[in-house]
Amino acid sequence: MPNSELAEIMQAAEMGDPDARDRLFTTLYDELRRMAQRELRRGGMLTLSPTTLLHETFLNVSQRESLAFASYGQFMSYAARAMRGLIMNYIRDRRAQKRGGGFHITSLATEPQAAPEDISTQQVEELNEALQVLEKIDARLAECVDLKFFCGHSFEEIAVLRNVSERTVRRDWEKARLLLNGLIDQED
Amino acid sequence: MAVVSLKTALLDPTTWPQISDHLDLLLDLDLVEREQWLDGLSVRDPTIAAVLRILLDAPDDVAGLLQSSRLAAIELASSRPE
Repeated sequence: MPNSELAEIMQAAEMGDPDARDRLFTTLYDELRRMAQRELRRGGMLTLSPTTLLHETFLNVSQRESLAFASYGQFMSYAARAMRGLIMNYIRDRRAQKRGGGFHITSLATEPQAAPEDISTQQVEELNEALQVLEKIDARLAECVDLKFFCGHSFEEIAVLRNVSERTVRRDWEKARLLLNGLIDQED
Repeated sequence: MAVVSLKTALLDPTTWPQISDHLDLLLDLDLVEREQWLDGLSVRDPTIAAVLRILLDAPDDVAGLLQSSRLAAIELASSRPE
């Protein structure tokens, strides 16, 4: 897709056009997927950081004919949801294949004394379902979770991306956590 | 306590902004102050107070993984999904 067209979709999305938002999601999803598969072709087994994948995709997109995104923060605000979609689809692919290899995810414990832990795919599925509801309640909170949990950004990095204080990001995160807990708890 | 569906209440566009404002206040209070404040709100607005209690009292189960963790890596093996 020429970047001028991407820029037009972004502009429409910024104006609140829901169709443009959907098209932008699809476009960024495809970009991320293409970049991940390009990395895959380089080796038999690869560990790919979501943050690295997003950064590489941003560079790839922005270095084409013209700069489509006004800033890295603007790109991230759209790409974060696409990153979640990519991860969820890899989880489903793996489940459908019912064989070894393919995909798995690990988490990083943010406390220095805690070891990295495995996350069950069911937990991530439940989280994704709750996030889809959270998007309708407050898209900004859902995006905060996408940026931190699915894209691997720190609170400080999200604050810079959003041009707000770290305290604001931490408050958004706390609210998102409360809502997700409540939504998941009522579904049980 | 009023019986409320959390999802229904939160999806009401007039409810969430109120809840969000209350959370900004409540998250800065200690547990005793929080309970006193919610008791007062229950008299004035029992539905909003009930939603807040559900949110604040929900067990930190699945979403608890958000507190200390984030995805660090996607491992893609040689049996590549297409």
